[in-house]
Amino acid sequence: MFKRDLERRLRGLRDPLPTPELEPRLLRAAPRRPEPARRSVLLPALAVVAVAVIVLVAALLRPGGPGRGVDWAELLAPVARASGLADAVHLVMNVRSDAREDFDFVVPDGPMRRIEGWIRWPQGTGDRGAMRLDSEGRQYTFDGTTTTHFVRASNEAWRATGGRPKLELLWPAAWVQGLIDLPQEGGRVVAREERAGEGRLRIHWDAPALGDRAPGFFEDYEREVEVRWDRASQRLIGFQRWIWGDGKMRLFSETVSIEYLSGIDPILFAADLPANVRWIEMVPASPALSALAPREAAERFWNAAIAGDWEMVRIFCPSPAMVDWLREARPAELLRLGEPFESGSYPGVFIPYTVRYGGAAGAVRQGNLAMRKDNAYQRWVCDGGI
Amino acid sequence: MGLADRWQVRKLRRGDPDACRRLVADHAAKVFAYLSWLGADRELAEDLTQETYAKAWGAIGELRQVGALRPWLLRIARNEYFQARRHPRLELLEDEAGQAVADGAPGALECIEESDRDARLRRAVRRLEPPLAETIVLHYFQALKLRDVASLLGVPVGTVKSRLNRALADLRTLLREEEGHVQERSRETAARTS
Repeated sequence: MFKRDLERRLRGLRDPLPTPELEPRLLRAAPRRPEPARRSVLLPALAVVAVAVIVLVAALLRPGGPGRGVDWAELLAPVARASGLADAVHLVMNVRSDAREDFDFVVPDGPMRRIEGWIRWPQGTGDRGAMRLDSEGRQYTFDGTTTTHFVRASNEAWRATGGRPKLELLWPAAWVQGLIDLPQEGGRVVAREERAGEGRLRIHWDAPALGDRAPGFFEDYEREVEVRWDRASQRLIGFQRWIWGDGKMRLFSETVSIEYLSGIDPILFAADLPANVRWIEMVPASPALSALAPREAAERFWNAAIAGDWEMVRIFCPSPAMVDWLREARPAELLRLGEPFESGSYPGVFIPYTVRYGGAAGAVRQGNLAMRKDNAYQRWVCDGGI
Repeated sequence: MGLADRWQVRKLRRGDPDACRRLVADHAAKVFAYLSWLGADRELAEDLTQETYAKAWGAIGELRQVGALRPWLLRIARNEYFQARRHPRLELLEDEAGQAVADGAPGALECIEESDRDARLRRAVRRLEPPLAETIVLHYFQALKLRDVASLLGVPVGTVKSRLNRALADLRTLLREEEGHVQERSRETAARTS
């Protein structure tokens, strides 16, 4: 048989066909954005050309008009400088996140949750600053030496001495500096105005490639940030973050108030804990377990939970509440364990997993196990994501 | 990427519903066929096609970096298939009552009505070594260019060419065998009936 004949026969073979129900199934999950109303072809085309000309002329005539040409780093540099000229800041924010999460983790369908923070920025060598963050779900304090994290729902707390939390998360000048440090190619200015004593700038970024990972933190989404500042003092007065979801931009976080302080009472940075608080403590274990890579540690953790080896689970999961939850949920099979990745401001890694819970016919759950090793044993331990 | 694909990608990135419908209409059956060729039964192939599109909808933001749309979708489908084989997922293998779906359900390939000649060719392709069969499937059935096949399989273009040559040579041998069996069976039948 000639090669060409064989190739012709191969190209002519019929494909198996899916059932007719498949197509609607696929479309059901397609991105939904408003379908534009259909009008004549010529009018919209003319309108687009006219608008483009107007925008172009306006951009050319008005230095720094919105668009890719705006150097937001240059525009925001004085705002970052002026906002950093304070001893401390008191701020109130609304964030669409989980009660136990903080600044960066997005729960797109969740309610806006109020958080309140006080930050004293480090002054000079040896000073590590101080902070307090209060939210519905937790309290986080750092008095300059000791960090205490209290989770209200589980009545658990952990305490660490040495190091310091990322004060930048709640320091307005650091937010602005963070924008300045971002490469300009990645985003575009979609709005800019300076009037009535206020400056406003809005920057848009497309969603990054995440592979098979679901978006979790703000930077995993198609998003926008809006910065507002007082033109007289050049200080930041408003900071809003938006994500694209369900066919529209949705507000993810907003500052309700930012108060720049010249001094702050240190009593604010002491933790207020209930007398019956349960302490999250690391369990001593073989140093060999500290040598495990995060993925290996995650695998040990899941396998121990599946086998019901709760002593081993405690080694990799210092939170008694999480261990209690696992005992009830009864993980039965580890179906997938992905590669660790870093995201947001979390000081560890996330490891994607798929686990079947509760016996042979149990529910299958996917998630990202949060693991960190900033503990005295330098061991990767589970910190959330179950 | 061709101009048509580039135009569609622009529309997809804007979330244009027509472009989404076209992405399904133009490629879903091919994705399903590819998964069937890889070895998925009908139900699994449909579930994995759905997973493939779910991933694709979620990754529209990265479309700027992809080449043509078909290879991009097939790459996702291939990953999904091998992932499902490594870690069979319950939601894919169980029905609503949690009962395991019977293994060995007829595959989509077994349900095609076709001439004996085509059926023999199809059987012969399935008897090829898996890398050779997959290369044939991607190049001839999915009509991918050699460089797209190479990129999808993660091998150099030269390897794709040599696999195709080997596959065609092996196919000729297998078809001769098959046709030899057929002739033998026909002779036996004729002898019995005479």
